[in-house]
Amino acid sequence: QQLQTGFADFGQDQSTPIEIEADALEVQDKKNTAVFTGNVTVRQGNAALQTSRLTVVYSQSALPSPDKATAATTSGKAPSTPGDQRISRLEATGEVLLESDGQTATGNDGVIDFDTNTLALNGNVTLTQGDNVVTGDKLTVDLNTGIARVQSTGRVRVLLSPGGNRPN
Amino acid sequence: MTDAAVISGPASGQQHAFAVPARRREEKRALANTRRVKRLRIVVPTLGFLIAAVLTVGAVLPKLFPIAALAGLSLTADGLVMNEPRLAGHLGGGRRYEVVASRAVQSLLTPSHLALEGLQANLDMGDGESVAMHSAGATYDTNTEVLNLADGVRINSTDGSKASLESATVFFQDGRMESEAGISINSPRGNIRAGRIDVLEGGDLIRFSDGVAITINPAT
Repeated sequence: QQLQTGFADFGQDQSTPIEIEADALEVQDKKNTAVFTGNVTVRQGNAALQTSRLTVVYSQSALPSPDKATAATTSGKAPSTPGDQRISRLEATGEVLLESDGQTATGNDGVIDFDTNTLALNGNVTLTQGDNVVTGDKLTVDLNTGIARVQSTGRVRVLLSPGGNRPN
Repeated sequence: MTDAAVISGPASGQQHAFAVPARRREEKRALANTRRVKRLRIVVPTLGFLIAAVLTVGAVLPKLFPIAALAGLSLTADGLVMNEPRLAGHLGGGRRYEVVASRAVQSLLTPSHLALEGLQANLDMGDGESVAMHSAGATYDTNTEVLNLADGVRINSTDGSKASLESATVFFQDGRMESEAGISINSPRGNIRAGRIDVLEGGDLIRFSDGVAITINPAT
């Protein structure tokens, strides 16, 4: 099932601060990772992510090469902490809830990959747009377009409420 | 080449400059801390200078006393008092450090126990930035190499970052620092608040706990 969602550019608003709260944070210099654990909430503008464990993976080199660097930065592909430190992936495990523009998506775990500009949720996936609900095993969102694809080993179930706007 | 000079207290106004063999080990540790800063700054932009300031001060602190004993001494009921001991020198790469205390007291009963008042350290970070660390009071045990900054720590960096801790304990032999009285770091890049901080493995692993709140400001 393919749907248009409001998750385009999720987490890539370069003009708004990112607020992160958690019980604990562990920064592992050698692995270039920062792991938030316990009631983790990440907010940026009207986008929010909630989970119980969030691993922030920074890109190895600051940016591969000057020209690509400029392209990646100006195209705003990934939220970069100031000082050109690029976040390449967010890995959320343990009941993930994503909210954006009044739409929500939940799943067992999820990955936001800023290198490929995709968002994926896996396991018990539910996507809710207003009164419309789609469930399946896997949700993949192209963050360039906001187009989401829901897949399931069994059947994807779509619940459309009469008079509600159809997911196009 | 690394060298160290002690500028003695106002009382005697003399200048001593010599290198002590044992210093090489400590300065290598200080150098490693500073190099880690650059990598750490990549991982968490606002953290690097905090680790450098505290760990590097400890690396140079042991040198303050054996040499400073020649300067500005007085004997009081508290013990051997050194007025305004000051130590300046260079870490690798020509980066300057200076550690000053308004007063240092070496207990006569437990000579390894040193009480420092008005501890101020200034560290050149090498890339045009420097860090200043101040603590109203601290104690240092030269046997266990534990620096207890009980009266709070304020750290300011020329890049606009500031950190404050109500207290901190640095275990130099373990390459570890902890503070359970809360930490707050502010910088143009964002800020971090946490109930507790543990710096482990010489700074390779940093754990914030008891509640963490971080704001990352948009890249300007």
